[in-house]
Amino acid sequence: MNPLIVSILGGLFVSDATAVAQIMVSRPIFCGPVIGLVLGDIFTGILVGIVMELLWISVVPLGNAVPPDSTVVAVSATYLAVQGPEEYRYGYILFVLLIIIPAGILFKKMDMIHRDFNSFFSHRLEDQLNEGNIGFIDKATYISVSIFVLKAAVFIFLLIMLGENLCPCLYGMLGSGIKKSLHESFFMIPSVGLGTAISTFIFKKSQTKKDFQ
Amino acid sequence: MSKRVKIGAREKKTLMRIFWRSFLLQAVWSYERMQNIGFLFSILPKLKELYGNDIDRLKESCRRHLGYFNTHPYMASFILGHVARCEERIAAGEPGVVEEVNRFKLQMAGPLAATGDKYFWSVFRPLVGLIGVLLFLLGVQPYYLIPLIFILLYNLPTYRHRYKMLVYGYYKKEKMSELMKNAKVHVSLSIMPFAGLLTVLACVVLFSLELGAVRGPVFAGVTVLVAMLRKYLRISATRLLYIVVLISIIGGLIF
Amino acid sequence: MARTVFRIDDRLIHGQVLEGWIHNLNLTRVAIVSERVKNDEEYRRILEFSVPPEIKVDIFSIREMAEKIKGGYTEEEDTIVLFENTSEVLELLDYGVRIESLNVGCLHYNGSNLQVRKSIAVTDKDINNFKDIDSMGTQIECRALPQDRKVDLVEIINKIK
Repeated sequence: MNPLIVSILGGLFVSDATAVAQIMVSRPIFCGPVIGLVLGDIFTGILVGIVMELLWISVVPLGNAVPPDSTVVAVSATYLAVQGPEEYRYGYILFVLLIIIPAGILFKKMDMIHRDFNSFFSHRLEDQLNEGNIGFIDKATYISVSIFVLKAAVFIFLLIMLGENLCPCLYGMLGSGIKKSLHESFFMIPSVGLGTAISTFIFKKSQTKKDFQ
Repeated sequence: MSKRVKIGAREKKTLMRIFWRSFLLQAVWSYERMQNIGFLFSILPKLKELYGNDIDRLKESCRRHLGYFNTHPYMASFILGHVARCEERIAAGEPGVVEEVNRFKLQMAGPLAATGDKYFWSVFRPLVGLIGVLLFLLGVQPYYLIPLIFILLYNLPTYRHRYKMLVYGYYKKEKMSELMKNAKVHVSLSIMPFAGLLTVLACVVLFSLELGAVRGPVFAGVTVLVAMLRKYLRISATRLLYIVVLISIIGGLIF
Repeated sequence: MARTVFRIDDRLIHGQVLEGWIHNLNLTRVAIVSERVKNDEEYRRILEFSVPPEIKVDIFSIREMAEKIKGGYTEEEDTIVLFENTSEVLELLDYGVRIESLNVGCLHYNGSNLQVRKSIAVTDKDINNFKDIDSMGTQIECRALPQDRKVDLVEIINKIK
């Protein structure tokens, strides 16, 4: 039952980023702990959430550029990390993140194809309006939202199903030396996010003075 | 507040419906026309109020809003409010308003998007996210408080902003430039990054203290190094993550 | 040596320009070349306010811009020069200003023009203008953000004709 609940929740969270509302339930710092709570391990969720939030802190959805999807990564990584072994626990969390992040990029590519496809609705709507079918505006919107949610949910479902089998298997192949240093490295990761945050908050100023009335 | 134009309960209800529907502004986002359907979806209650069963005029007015439109989702409500008011004038038969609406939509979208992106995406949201991280480092318990505080801290001001912008746009007592000046956008844009930097510093210090005498300074050092690499070489955060992990693992294996 | 980016973008200042170009490349000044904006007091003020306080906004007519550039304007500090359409670039070139490279960011689909890239749609007039600009030794590339891959626009245009 759990994978289904996580996928559906994940689908809802992911669509918040672009399609619906933008109330930021898509941010890792929110969706990580919530997924963790659902699975009964909020601490792991919050660790994943915070690390991901920091890494993605300066990623801005710019105009028509689609940033790598942090929500997909945070949700799936939390699900997989919760099941991790007790020994070198943080090492497993980091390991899962490193494997899942490329999937976030893959999801981004899918999203771009989807957004290309969406112009279909514009053209269809034009025809429908000519026929006086005003209801199609609502219909198109709701259908599109459903596609956004479903797409993300299915992607997360497949990802966690695959990851569930693959990650422990791959991790088992690593030597204990590597596991130990992965475990230690986990605590270095926030520095990447914090460094990124510093760079976003520092601006270069124009030398010519600006005059405001 | 006293100078407000009297409006009926019906108009107010429509305005609320526009507000709620504007949450789906980006539902049919496409590369070709971006938020066009979302805009039409949001403004539809007004058009229906004005034209009701006159299907031909309704059709005609819908078609006018099918063109390209894109702005920041939180700022769109200002444009929606103003366009809703203009639609009333169009319905009353005032000439030239159609062109005014089209120009207004195109002209305002860009600058509003720039302000919104800067203000919400690259300053306010990172700041609130960092506050969440800081709460965790300060040992706030139980843990579910952290996402809860994050979501409330972020949404209360933005929700209020979205609603306010719609009302401002509808009544439009003052010019947008005056509004931006009075809202002191520039003042907050100078203060918030500063607050953000302080939060980052607090996080770095707390992390370093947590990590102890050896790993702590390394952590602080890596943070500064990453900041410089990001700023001057513009290496993406994802790539930096893999580089840092790789070096860290090798380091861990050696020592 | 100060850097200068020349960009065509019919939305002028928006997130991509501000975050993608100005912030990423550490530019400090925006110059908008447009007769229309120059004459619209309210719009001009909105544009000025839409940019954070540390960035300067200059709004020029084409003629003023040409004189400024000849007077060493682009040497002063790192600047992005924004145009609304292709004709204004051509006009600036006609004043004797040389542009090495021109970035085409957004030219939007408006129902009658031809979409050639995700956010670029051109009319026949644009095509001719681009050819003229190209023949004056300016390299025309299109990309939304500085980190994207450069795409030669002239090549694309030649393909459709």
